[in-house]
Amino acid sequence: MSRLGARLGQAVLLAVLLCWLLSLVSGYDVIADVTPARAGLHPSAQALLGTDHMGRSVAWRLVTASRAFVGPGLLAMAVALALGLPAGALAGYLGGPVAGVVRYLWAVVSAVPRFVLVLLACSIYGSEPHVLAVAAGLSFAPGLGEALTTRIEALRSREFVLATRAHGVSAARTLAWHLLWLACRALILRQLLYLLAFYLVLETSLSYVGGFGIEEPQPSWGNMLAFEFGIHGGNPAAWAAPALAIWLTVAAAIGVASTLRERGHA
Amino acid sequence: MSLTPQALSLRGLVKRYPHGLLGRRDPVAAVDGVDLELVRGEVVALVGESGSGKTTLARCALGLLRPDAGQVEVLGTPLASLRGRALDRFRRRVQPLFQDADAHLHPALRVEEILAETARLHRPDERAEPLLVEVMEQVGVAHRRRAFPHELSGGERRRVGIARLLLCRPELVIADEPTAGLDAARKADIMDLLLRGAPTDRATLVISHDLPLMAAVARRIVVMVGGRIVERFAVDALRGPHHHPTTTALLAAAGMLAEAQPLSSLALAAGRAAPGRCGCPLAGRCAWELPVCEATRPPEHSLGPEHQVACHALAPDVDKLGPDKLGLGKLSPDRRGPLPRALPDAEPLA
Amino acid sequence: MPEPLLELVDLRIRAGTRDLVHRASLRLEPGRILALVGASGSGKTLTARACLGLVAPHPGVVGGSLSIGDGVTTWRPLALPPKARRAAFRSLRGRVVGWLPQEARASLDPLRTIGSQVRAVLSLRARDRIALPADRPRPEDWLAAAGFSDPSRVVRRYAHELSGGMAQRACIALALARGSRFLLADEPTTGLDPTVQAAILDQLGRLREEGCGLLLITHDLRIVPRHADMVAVMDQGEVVELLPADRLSQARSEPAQALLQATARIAGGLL
Repeated sequence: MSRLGARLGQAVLLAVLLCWLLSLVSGYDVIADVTPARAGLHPSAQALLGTDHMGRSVAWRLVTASRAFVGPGLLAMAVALALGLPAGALAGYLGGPVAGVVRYLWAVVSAVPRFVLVLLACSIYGSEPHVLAVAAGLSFAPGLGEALTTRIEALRSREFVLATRAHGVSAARTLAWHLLWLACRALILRQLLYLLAFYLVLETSLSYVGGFGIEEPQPSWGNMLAFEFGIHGGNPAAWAAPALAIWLTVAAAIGVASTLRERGHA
Repeated sequence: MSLTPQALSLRGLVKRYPHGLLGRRDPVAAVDGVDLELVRGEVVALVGESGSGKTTLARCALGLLRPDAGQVEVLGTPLASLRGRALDRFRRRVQPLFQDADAHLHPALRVEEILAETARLHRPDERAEPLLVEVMEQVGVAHRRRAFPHELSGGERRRVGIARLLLCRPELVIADEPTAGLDAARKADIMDLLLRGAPTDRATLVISHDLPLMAAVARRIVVMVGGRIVERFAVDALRGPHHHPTTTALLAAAGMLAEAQPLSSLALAAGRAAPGRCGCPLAGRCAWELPVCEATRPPEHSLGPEHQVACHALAPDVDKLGPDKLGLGKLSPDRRGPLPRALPDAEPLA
Repeated sequence: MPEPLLELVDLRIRAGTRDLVHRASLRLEPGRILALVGASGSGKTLTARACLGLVAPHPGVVGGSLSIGDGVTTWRPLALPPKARRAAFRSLRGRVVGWLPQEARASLDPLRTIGSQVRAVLSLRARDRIALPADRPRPEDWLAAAGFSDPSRVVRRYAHELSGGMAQRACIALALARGSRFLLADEPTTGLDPTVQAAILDQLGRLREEGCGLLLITHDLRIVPRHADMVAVMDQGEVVELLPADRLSQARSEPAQALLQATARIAGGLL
């Protein structure tokens, strides 16, 4: 992937983050914005992306919708990290029975397809965003953990780890700093970016299917797409904009992930 | 800090590795009962070919492997009595120089970061930058301080390892094949860097299979085969008349013997001897084999002051075994030949 | 004096604007071993690759003359235009000029037994119509000629099952079976134990009996007096001295003396 592509990807992700921050501070009120008289307007000077079938500003809804994705996305990443990182790292470093038990747990969790796992969680705990986020994070923990275990196992037997320990560095610091931070952070970040992309697609598809995810009138790119797509004669930007946003963000997350490299030659 | 004269003391060291599928076969002893001592200030060479157990011995001496039997005492302290943080702190005093120069440096750290970490860990009370500059200039890598290990040449990586060592100021250094893979012309440079200017109370154990190089730098040479030490001698005795078959083979390979010996008879005497047998590790492959070699482990006989050999064929009472007791083994007696002697007119060693 | 197998006169190799090799002259006679020594970066490997036509044309070989002969014909590849030059080298590689690699185990085909690799090489030999000696019809005979004491076991082995020294012997067997008139060996004993190194070098010495020549590249001067007939000293892209191997200690050029001095300390009285 070219440097330009990497830069563009990073720019997109940064833009999403800015949208999120913007939506936190703006006073946009989803409910008050409903003006049926202005429904279906095409993009113009007054409304950058036009209005949707209920007369709400598409642009503002687009920005506000980032809240539905960034917050829960970060929660999902935190869950995946908490469940996957310590167990995966320790399993890789210690090997033996610890690795055996941990791998068994991963196998059990990842035996259930991710989508099914999420739906299962929703059927038990309801379909709020935080349930989706936790379930998505849980479904990604085995992938992250297994990748870490494999990598740390491979690194553990290399001479520089032996040299580090022989040097008087404690086992804990060797694992945390020399292995995880210096030699695995690209791997970890890559997995988290894939999780972010997954979450967005998850939320979108569940909104599209109907009934899950963010409930109206709160916007999410998924439900915007769902509601606007079938409407005839309306403002095409009302569904094209969220579709483009989803596509760009997913591509950016995966694209940036593919450019990540460990420092030096680790 | 204790100031015992002993820098390293290994007694009856044994280390086994599991063998065969799922470790079902009997474990192989990589180190099979080794006694070795180093006193402060001396440079001792441990010589042997691959598979002799020298690297395993080094790792046990560094506390990176727990022996299955025997005691390891470093600078007067038994290693078994140290655990966890105490062991980590003790490590400053005994430092390794690893063989695989490609891999002993963290691939994600620059040279200056590697050395800075060492300074922070082992000389926390001093300002790091002047220390780093001094030690980098000493070994000649100052112009490469921002490089990553994969950008350095093999010799440069070796030098960084030595720089790290110099920062620690250890009392015992264990160098495993420090010159492997380097130009013959550079080997002497690296050994100089490692040994010259060392404080007088530092002991160094150098492990190598390059006998002529070791003869130039060490005071004592110890030869290892099949997990056991088979000969110990002071370097002045290198040119002496009698050596263990393995030492003789190494001398022949280096071209240091007076008569050119048919290498086929000697080559079998060194190399991958099967460890863990009850007799001599070379039994079945040695040109001087006697029937007793298969059954009994040879004890160490003294051939002179500071010269011990573990070989039945060199025992003082070998004549008592008589010619009719000579084993046929894999080589017939007529290929056995007289025991070869080393080059008689020795150049004084530099 | 017999026709040389290899004669290089004033070879010049350039990369970009720099001359990496600029006055390399060598001569290899049948049944002789020429050692090419020098510090790393002096151009030894590049010179050897030029003899095989394996120097990247950026611009690559820009001067000098190379003649390769097998006793019957003499080729002068560098005097030909580029396309004909490539064709000439292609026909010479293997048939006349052989190559012994540094990492023997990595150079053997990992998916075929040693025996099948020898058979493949023998069929190449037949294709080139090089006579097969009557006393060595089978692959095992070639392995025995390379010094294996148990060839019938080795024919069934794969590359990864061989030790470093055995893999190098297998490469020697392949080179012998191919019937090349001379071999280029680039540091063939690095990483091997000393007794194995000495055994491999002795085996290479026996190539002389086959009438083969050997250009042995090495950085270790210690092996030169015993295992080579002539030695060429290279320094910064130039062959500065060419002398009989047993008179290496009397070399007069500065680079040779520097190398001798640097190695003398660790040579155990040899140099």
